[in-house]
Amino acid sequence: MNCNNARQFIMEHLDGELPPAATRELQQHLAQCEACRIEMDRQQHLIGRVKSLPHEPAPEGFAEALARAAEAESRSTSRNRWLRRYGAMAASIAVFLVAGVMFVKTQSTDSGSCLPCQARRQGEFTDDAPPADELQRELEIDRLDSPARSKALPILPQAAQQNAAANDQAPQGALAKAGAPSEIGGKAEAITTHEAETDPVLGLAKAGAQTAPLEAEPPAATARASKAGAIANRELLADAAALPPPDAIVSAADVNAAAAQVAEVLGRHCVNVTIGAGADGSMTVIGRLAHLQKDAAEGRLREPYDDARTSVLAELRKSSSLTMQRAGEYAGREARRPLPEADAEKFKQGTIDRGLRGRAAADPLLINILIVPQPARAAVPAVEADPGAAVMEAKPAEESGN
Amino acid sequence: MNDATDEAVLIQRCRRGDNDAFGMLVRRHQDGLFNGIYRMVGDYHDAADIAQDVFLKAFRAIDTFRGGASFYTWLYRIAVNTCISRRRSLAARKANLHVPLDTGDDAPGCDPPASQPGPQQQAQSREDCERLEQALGCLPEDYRIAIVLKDIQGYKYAEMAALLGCSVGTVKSRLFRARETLRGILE
Repeated sequence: MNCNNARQFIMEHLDGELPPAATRELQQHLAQCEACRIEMDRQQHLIGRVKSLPHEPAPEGFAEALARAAEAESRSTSRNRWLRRYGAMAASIAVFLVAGVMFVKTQSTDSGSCLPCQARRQGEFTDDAPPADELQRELEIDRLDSPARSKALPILPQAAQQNAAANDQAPQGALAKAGAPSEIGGKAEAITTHEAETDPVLGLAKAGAQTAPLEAEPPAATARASKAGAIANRELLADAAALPPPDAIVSAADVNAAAAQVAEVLGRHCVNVTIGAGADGSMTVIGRLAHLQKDAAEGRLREPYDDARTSVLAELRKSSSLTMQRAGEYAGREARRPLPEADAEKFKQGTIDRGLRGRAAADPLLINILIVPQPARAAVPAVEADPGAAVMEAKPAEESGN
Repeated sequence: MNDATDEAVLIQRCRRGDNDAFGMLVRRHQDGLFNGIYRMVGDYHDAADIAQDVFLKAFRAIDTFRGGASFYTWLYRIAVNTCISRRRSLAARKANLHVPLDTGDDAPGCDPPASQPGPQQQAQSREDCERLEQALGCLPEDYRIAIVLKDIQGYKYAEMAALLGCSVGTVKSRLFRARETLRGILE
């Protein structure tokens, strides 16, 4: 052993970690080497000094302060868990609701090709707001089977769009997206569940579904979906029953502005657009994107399907809330019409979501926006002179009686 | 019920959200942990802040404690990591090996006096401890942590290696160099 080795061995010896054989070797070296004995004394002295540093206890009241901090954190964690749990549940409910409403609508609609494209081809877009009866017919054809569905959504005057944009500060609702058809019944992907907190009354949801064969849906998943759908639908109906009768009055300009924005977003992507009011006394579907893939396959899409789909979804996330909210006010009075009995029963049973799967098999992409109407509120004054506004505002009593 | 069993029960209760159990775990380990942190960071208020942070981190992550090491060692690992990240973020007290400290070989140590020390002895001891603390504060962080883990917390080389995430050989050489450096500062 040389002195260099000995210094390392001294440290380990003083730390009590030198093996016995090495200890004996060290002791033999120390017996012969005064310098290393001095080195050992110095190391021992230093270690002793460090070890003898006074023990500093925790500050007085440390545990109590910590308990308060932990308690506060515990409450916060609990709240976050609650939000995660019930936020996801709310998103799931929204998706099932959309599925249910979709079925109601698909009972009365065909799967025609892109309306804006057809309209453009047929030269039916105008710069004038449609008269109220035409708008009303648009709403009606969304619920009824009608060849008039080929009627295009009108593009609205810039003023109407600006009017709509002026309301852009309205709170957003919950947005939820259903995944591919195989996921429709089983699980849903929340896009922005946190937005559900912003307005507990007016909730917005949209569902997207890609084409897939119905056979791909496992029977067990279908059963689970139906059961979950039934629960969700019953809950929604119960919630809707608790709402005061909607008495919001909106002008045709509001609805037109909403339609314009939808058309602007969807038309750019050459996607089917309908504006309409539903259905069961609590909600309405006001917008639909469909046939994106079909349009792409038939050469009517200006961009690749995947890009278009991504773009549409992104665009909707950014810009649909205003549209949906304004149209939601309209839906507030339109939705007084009861759901047809047969559909209502399906809706309660949750079997209605099967309609969505059937629809999804035909439609490459279905995005619907669900509106839960706002509670009773003062009449909204007409924001601009519109020939349709006066007509529509004159009819709420009549409609509420339906 | 021995201490280990008792502690395991407290941890289980803590996992179920029992804040009282957490409080008991805190009281059991707060002094040892605080002292170790204080010796690592050298500032009383920083140490209190870090100690609270460590316990809260442990409270949040209690579900991840598997019992492989002792609870205190687990806490201490969190403490070491917290100290390192805190110190790095503050970029404070960088190693300065050229601080002249007027202490010599004959400087009295900090051994506690055998009997009631007189005022002069107390003052001398306090001054020595302050010098030593100052010298520790001048050490590079990894050296300081090595000395604290070994000489103040009393961990074995293998435990230190596990705590620091390095080999036993690294621990030994780091500790050797740390002591050499500390002695150089004090001399």
